[in-house]
Amino acid sequence: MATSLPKVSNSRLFPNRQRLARLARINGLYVLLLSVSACQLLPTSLLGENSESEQEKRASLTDLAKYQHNKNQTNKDKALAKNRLSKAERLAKLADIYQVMLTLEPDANVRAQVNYRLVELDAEYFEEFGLTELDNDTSKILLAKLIADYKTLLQRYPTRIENENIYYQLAKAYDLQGELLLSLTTTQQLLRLYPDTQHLAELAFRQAEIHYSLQEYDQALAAYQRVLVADNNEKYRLNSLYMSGWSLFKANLLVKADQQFIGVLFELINEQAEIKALQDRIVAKYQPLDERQQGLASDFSKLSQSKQSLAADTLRILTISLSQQQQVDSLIALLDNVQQGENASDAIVGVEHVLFEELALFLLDKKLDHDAVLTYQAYIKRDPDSFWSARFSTALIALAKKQGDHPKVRQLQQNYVEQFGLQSKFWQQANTNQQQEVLPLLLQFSEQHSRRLYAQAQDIKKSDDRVQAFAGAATWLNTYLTIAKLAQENFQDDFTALAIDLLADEYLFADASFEAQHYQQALKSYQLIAYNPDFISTKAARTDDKHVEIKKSAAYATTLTIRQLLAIDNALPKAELITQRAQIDHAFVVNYPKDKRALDIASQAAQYSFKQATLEQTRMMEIDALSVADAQVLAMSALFEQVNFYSEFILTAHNISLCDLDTTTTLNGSRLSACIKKAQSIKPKLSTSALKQVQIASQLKADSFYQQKQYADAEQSYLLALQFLNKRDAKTKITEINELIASSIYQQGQRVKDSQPELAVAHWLRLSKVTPQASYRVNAEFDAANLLLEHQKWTQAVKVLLAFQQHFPRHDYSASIPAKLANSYQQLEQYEQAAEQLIVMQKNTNSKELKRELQYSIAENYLKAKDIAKAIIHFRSYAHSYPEPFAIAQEVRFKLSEFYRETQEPNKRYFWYRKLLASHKASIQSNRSPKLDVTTQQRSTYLASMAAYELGQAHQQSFTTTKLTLPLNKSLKRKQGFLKQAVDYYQQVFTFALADFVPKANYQLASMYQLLAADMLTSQRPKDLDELALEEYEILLEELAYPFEEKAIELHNSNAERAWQGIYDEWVQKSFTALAKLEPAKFDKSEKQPEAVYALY
Amino acid sequence: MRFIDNQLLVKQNMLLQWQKASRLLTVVMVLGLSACSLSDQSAESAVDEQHSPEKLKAIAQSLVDETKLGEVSSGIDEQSTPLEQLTIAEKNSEYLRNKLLIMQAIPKSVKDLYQSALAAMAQKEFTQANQLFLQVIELRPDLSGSYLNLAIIAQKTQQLARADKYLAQALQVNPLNPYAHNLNGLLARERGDFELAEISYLKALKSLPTYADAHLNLAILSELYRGKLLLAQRHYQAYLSINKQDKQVERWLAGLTLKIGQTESGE
Repeated sequence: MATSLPKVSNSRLFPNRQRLARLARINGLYVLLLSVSACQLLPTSLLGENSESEQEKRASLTDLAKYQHNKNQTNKDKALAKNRLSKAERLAKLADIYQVMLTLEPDANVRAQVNYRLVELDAEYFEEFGLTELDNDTSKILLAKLIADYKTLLQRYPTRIENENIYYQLAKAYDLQGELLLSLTTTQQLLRLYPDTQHLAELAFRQAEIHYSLQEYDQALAAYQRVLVADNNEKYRLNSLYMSGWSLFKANLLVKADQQFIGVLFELINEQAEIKALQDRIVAKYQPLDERQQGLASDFSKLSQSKQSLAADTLRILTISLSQQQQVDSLIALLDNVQQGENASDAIVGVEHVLFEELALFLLDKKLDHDAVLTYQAYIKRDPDSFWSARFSTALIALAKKQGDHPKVRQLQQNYVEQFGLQSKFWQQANTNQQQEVLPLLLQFSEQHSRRLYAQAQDIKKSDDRVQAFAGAATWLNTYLTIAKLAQENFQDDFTALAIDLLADEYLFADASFEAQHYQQALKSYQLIAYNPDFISTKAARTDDKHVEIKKSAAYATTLTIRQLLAIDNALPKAELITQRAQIDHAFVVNYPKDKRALDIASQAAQYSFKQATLEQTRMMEIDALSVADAQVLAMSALFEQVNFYSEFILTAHNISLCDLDTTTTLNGSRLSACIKKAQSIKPKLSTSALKQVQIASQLKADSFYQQKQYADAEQSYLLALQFLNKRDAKTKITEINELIASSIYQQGQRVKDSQPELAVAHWLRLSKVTPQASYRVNAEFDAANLLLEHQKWTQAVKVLLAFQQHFPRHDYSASIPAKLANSYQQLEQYEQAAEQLIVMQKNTNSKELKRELQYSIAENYLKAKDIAKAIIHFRSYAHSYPEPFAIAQEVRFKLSEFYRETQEPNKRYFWYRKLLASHKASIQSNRSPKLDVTTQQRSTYLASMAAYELGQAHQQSFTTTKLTLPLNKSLKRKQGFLKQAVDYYQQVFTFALADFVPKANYQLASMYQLLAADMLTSQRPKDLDELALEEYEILLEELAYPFEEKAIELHNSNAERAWQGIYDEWVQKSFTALAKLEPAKFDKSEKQPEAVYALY
Repeated sequence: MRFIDNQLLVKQNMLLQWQKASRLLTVVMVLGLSACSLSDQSAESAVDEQHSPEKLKAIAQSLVDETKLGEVSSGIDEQSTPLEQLTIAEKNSEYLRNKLLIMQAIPKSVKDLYQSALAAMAQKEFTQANQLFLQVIELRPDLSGSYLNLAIIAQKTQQLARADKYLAQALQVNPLNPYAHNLNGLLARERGDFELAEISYLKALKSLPTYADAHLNLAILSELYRGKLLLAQRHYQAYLSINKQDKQVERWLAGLTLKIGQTESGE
């Protein structure tokens, strides 16, 4: 970042320069001033300072620093040696001055001016006496005659009052005649005779002049002093004062002489002030005192030419006087003395710098540089904030430079900036002209110093020291820039001419701030450089290649700096910095899209934005949805848009575009694969870093879509992202992205599951094809199945469920599949398959209750499948295994009895009848807890009645089919056995007392007795009986049969009488029918049925 | 689900046991014990009045007269019979009083059509009879006779639902028709709805107290299906008072009376 420094050589910056030069010219200062305004930063210029061409060149800061490091010590030594030499010469030089002094006289011109009043008087005199037009000879004659006349008058009238004037005229005439002693004598006589003469001042002055001319300095001084105290001495006072000085000087009373000379200067200053005040009264009224004083001190231009000369000469002699004393110490003593004196006034301030400067210049002229330096320094110390101090500082710098004491030069320059800089007291009170004069130096010195510090800092390795050094450099660069900007603002023309490269300087400042870890400042500066169009005002500067490059560097630096800021704890609030970083990154990417670093920045920015967006999202999720402000939502969306922007930027830069597909195309996959192929063809062409960028961008873009729940886009983006991963390197990442693809697909399904369930299923099922290894596959397939079940798509559901079972046999979800399959099969009326699934379920469960329920369902499904054999097996198993719940157990027993009716296995049927009956009786007898509910009781009673009746019927059947054969007692016993068993069951029916079964049991019972009686009567007759025996036998049979018939009648009657209670069914009716035959007299009674009714009404 | 009242079963069995023990005893029916009531009031309240031989005789006479009248009227009923010719018992029948009044206003053509229908019915030409009865109904839907005969035909041809429908129409047109109530009782008894049967017979007898078939039907119902032996006894008697020559019914009455006697003696 080495940039050329301005060449401060424009004379317009120095409006006072002419004057300064004028003063300088006398003492050869001009050269020095020129050297001050030249830059001497090149190493070569440091080596050879007198080379003008070398001075034009500029050293880089680094060069300077290096040079500085090596040469510091050498310079110091040289400077010291030089100083020592100067001291040795000093005495000799002072002696030389003294020799000169001895021959010194007032400046001839000044001397003439001093005598001008007298000459003037003489001229008046001539005019009065008409002498002016006469030639020399004539005048002399006339003058002689006048003298003679005067003398005559004095002698004739020694006491006349007019004699005072005659003495005066006579003294003057002598003087004109050149008769100095006579004139002096006459004057003394006049003064003796007329001590209060009105011409006292003039006379004393004339006296003094004569004494001075005669080198009678003591008398001269006395006479001058008399002038000073005389009345009406105005015309001679200043000159008397001046000449008093000279008289004393000539008498080598230098201190006293000094006092007289400074008195002269006071007079002149005051006169100047009065004139100026008169001319510029209004302005003066508002002028601050110090300014007025400066004005007074700075020139004597308002005075007459003669007085200006007087001033100059007074200064000259005063300076010479001081130089012969203790130089500046004497000057200070003089000034202090004056200030303490009766005539002390502010005017002394106005004259001081002139005195110091004159002294210094004189000393310089006399090669007494060290004394000159001391003089300047003394003044600076005395009035450090004055403009003159600034000027003298400049002179000091020039001197140091002349001596080759560069460390000192640098120190002085640094001091200069500090003492007279924009923050200084000087600056506050300086007028525009003064500021304008100082400004170029401030610029130059501050720039030089700051660059020097910068270069030094660059070479420091130790971290803390380096930071510290850069902090110093930054401070100085800031100072410099502040000055430069002020110059730019207030002195536009001059500034332009200076050709200061503010942009480069600001960049240097920004860099220094950065190195000094002043990141805030660094950032501010980088931003100013990079993005403030007003910072560089000219179009040319803006389009300059170098500036364009600097701006770009600064723009990039902003991105680095904001990251540094963020890395520091306790910096600004993080949120603000993060926002700022986003803006900075965005600005860089937008302004320098073709810069390779833009891709890196975009990559980082995308990541940051994504992180922020997800944070924002999390924050929003943590609060009540209603409390989420629109602004928050917008902010989050904006962040995601940023992610998208950067990702797109990176991908576009690498010629990668997203597959723009809709859901349908995603589903069929053809366009998608083309898109993926394109991505795969690009991948090998990417460098490692480019690939990395693409990986990040493509993944973030997908992540962004995903986070915003734009799952279709997310899916496609993830698929694209996947193409840029190296399979060997990123197994975990690949797995992760596959998971996200799966999740995206899954969520697409989830989104439409209510509105478009078929589409949802399609999404979920394609998931296993797109990402077969994804963990989502389990849920997707399972949910697809469930959704199909929910929408009663049984066939599809079965297909999906079976596939799931096959893919994930050990997954927890698989445990529920048999149930779902069973249900689906049932819905599809594929009961056998349903039963098989239920068997699986039963095997898999540990719950006894569930096992029981499943056992029942299995049996029922086989029953529905019309597989009676299997239904029987499972119902039988149920009946044997689960006596409880009682109601179901009874029903199952009943079902079994019915199955065996169907299979025509009566014995098995009777078995279950007996089980039914026994269970019912057991339930009645036992004190069950909880007790059976009424419905269960009634149902069980019904089933028990039915069972008992059926068992009764079974035995009745055996009874009926058993024939009474011989021997009768045997067959009768056998038949009676069946009868007893049947009766036993029918009586149980009676016990249960159900109207549905009692009448028919009753009827059957009666019928059995009836049949027994009839069978007896028709039983096999023994063959060997004769007629009588047969008759007896038959009588016996009748006797035997009779009670049974009676019993039958009794039972039928009992059954018939149930009609009296309103119980009248076919069995009661049959009993009536039976009774009509058994006891026709009682029961064979028919109502009269009408054949027709004849009544029409 | 209906359960059998076991208490009743026990009582019945006791009765049967008692009957069985006294099976050989012949108990002469005491006429004085037998009560006869034509009203549907409870037997107990009517016993005293019914015990008067004169009263019984009078009633018996009136029943005979009614039967005759009924028999006559069933055949030649449709000829105009002046009100003054009715017996006291007939005058007590609201049905008969109304019938006399209404029949006078029936055109002969309707009566003839009805007769021809009856003739067809007698010839078991049920289809024709049906048509003719329907024609009568078309002419005079306010007369219940045709509906009733249509119901009888339906019953005979085992169309019981149809029979119920016509019977309901007959009773709707003429709620006093004793023959309709009688038929209603018969159908109810066959269905086992013995309570309705009893009510129907009693309604028939209220409309026409001299209706002998209704007495007999009510007596059989009460004995066999309702267990109301005394009520049965009364209506057998009422029937016999009208049909004095019915020996079979006389035997039934004797048997019943014996049973009642056994029951009352506590056997």
